[in-house]
Amino acid sequence: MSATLIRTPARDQARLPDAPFHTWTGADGTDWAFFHRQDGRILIRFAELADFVVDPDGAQAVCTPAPGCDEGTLDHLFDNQVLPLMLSAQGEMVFHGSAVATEAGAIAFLGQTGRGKSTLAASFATAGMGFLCDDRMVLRRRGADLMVMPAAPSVRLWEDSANRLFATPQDLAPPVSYTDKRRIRAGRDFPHCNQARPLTAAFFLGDGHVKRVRTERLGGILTATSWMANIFLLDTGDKAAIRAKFYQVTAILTRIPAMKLEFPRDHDRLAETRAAILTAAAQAREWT
Amino acid sequence: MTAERRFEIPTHVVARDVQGELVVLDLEKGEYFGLEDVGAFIWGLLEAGESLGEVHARILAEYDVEADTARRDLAALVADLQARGLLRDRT
Repeated sequence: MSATLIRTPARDQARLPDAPFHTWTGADGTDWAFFHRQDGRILIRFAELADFVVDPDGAQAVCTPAPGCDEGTLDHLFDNQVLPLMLSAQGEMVFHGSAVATEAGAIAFLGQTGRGKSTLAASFATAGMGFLCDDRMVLRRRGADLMVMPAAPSVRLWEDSANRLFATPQDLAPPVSYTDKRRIRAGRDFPHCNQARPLTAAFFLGDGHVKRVRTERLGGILTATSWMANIFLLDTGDKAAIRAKFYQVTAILTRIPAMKLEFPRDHDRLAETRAAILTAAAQAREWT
Repeated sequence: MTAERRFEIPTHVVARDVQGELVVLDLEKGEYFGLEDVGAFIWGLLEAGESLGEVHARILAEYDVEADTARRDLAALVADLQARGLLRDRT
């Protein structure tokens, strides 16, 4: 599979004739990506940053930056937002998730923006369990296993998380202009796992309004709907694509033990949270 | 409830068994619906084209339940599924 990106010269973002059929909303409730249909393709508008027009089969995207959008931001938008949609359109299983490599296999964290996926992945990495991917997770079948594919060796964290997780300044990747999150590169004390690992447990993150760490095994229906809620999908109105993803999820992903995870948003309790996750993951392996 | 009535699943509705539960997805509305145990059993029979009377008989053969209770529960489930647009009368 390949995904081609074509760049065109920067130009002002023209007003679009129709309302978006889908939007992405940030943790602060602001819409920041707008999906439109245009001549059989999908136009994804990142306001004041760039337009990407993607072929429905996900093979090609044409990027038109808005004036002043820097290269680092464009690269990041493509790698982290547009490419996952293209891969999904090509049939790959791509999710809003982060994953870490433990001795027993990979553990995935999935959930809406702001639920703590990156914080948990970074926390495990600081404890020596390298992160595989941050914020977008590609899964591929390999024999009987479902493998988490390694992605870029950096994690995006809010400044307070970064300051609390690391005692010393970390190697920062160039900033991107659409978020205040810091991109922290892997390093000696912050390992990245660059080899695919079999997925052994998936945790779907709650809203964090709890005082204690809680894990709860999900039944078949909640497992299926939780995976579907976190899938990258180029055209959310494409019923054939949704049907295909539904079959993919129900046939393959629901074999992976799935749990709801609630944990207090308290950096001082991340070690306790990690321990609870590892215990729950070990127990989950007994189910299968 | 007419014992001869048969049903079909609209093309915009897909269902898959997951860990013993049936997950039903309405592609038009983007809504999910779950059926466990007896509900999933009934769905499978209705999807296979069995009539209400045949389904009722299969429930009595499979589960320890009174005939009237089974008839009432079956009618309620079918009405619910129809109201949600997940099931329609076969023409």
